[in-house]
Amino acid sequence: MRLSFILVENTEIDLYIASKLIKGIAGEVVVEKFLSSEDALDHIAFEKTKKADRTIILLDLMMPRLNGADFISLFEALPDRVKDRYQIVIVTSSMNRVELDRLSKRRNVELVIEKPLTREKFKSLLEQIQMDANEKEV
Amino acid sequence: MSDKLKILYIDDEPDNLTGFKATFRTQYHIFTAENAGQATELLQKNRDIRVVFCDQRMPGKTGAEYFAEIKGTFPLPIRILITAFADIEAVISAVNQGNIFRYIRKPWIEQDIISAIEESNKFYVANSLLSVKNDELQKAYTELDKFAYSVSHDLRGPLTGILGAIDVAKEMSDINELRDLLVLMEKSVFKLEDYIASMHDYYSSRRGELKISDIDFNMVAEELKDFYRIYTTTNKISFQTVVRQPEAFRSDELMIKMILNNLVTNAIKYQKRNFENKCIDLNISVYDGLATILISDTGIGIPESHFDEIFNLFSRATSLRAGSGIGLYNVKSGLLKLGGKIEVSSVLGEGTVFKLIIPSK
Repeated sequence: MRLSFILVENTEIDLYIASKLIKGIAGEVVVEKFLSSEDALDHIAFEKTKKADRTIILLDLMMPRLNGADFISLFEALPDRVKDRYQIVIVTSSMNRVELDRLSKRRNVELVIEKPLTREKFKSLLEQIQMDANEKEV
Repeated sequence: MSDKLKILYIDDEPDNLTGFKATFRTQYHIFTAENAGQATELLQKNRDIRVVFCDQRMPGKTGAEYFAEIKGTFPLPIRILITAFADIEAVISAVNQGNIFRYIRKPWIEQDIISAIEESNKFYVANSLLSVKNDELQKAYTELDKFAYSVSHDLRGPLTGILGAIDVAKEMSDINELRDLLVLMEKSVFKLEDYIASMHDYYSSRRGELKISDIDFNMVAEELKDFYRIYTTTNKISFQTVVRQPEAFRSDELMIKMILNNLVTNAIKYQKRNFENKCIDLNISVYDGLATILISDTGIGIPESHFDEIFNLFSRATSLRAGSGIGLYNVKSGLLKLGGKIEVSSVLGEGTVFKLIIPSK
């Protein structure tokens, strides 16, 4: 299964860490990085992403202008054929359990990860994605 | 007029009205009405009427009925019923429904009326204080909510960033990679430090008492230039100041500095990258007790659609640069305390001008 990643994160250090972890653990996969959520959404909506079997969007929630929750709402309005290629994983330092709970139930949201994103958390994320993929094949 | 308490007396007997007015006009500002219609008109025009006396027995509407009616439309004035002993049933039900504050037996004596007015006034004052406090409390809660949000984003965010970086760094062996990471970690630490400094400004601009002294804007401008020299030189920004102050100006110096510091920091932070002629101009002129301050920059600009919100707490207009969304909020609340105001004009991609007008104290 060919995986690729889109990182939507307005904090430089978190963006750097995430891409380091991905390259270190998942190996040579395509990683597209966005400091602006609006640019990321355009990129997805106009189908400019590199072809892969599955693309994981690592999404920060607290971003200026277009925040993560609004990003998800706009994403949901995209046609199914576009949406179905992606899974959203929220990566956040928010402690607002109610909001996180609500967001984790959205159809395209696979998982919520609490910051900091570490090797351990990223490994278990990869395992979960692999398991999901196997289930779907069976 | 005077600052005498405003009292309204309603009675269908003109003689009673005249008597009431004659007795109390030296102590209070008395309004009189012969019927409910007149009374309502007076209440409408004079929103600061404190106490309303009304006779129970009037043609058409009883006093208790009238009070029940105005309880909703004019909730602030204190309502007192004037009644004969035979109407005690009406009084009891009016009291129980919360329609009247107290009642006075007819024929009234001067001392009863005065004590009723004084008691009512105390009650009125306590009540309005309470409602002012309630409003303040509501505002404080709203800001606390925003603060809770900000704690997870602005305090926890940089910390989790550093934690994540440490986790990654443990597995790194390339010293150059480690250095890159250190630069990013340093940025996170600066961000935290910035945030804590602006939280401090936040509290001092809201809670602190003003300390008014003579302000020499030439000195203020020089200090600013000195303070930012390291940043302006390393970033190749030309920082020009022009000060015209032919007269004395009095205000809170720390607050003025906090305001200017925030605006100059922004002007530095939001410069266009890779732009040749980066400039910041600070122009201060003091005339007729008003200081007019213009700060213009050749920065990235602010979209017009964001003009209204940039002064709100935690509002961010761009994701391009680090910021907590507190700076301009502090500027605005500081200016509010000084009785000043601020306007912004900006052209996207060209620069921004902030115009401040501050009165001398």
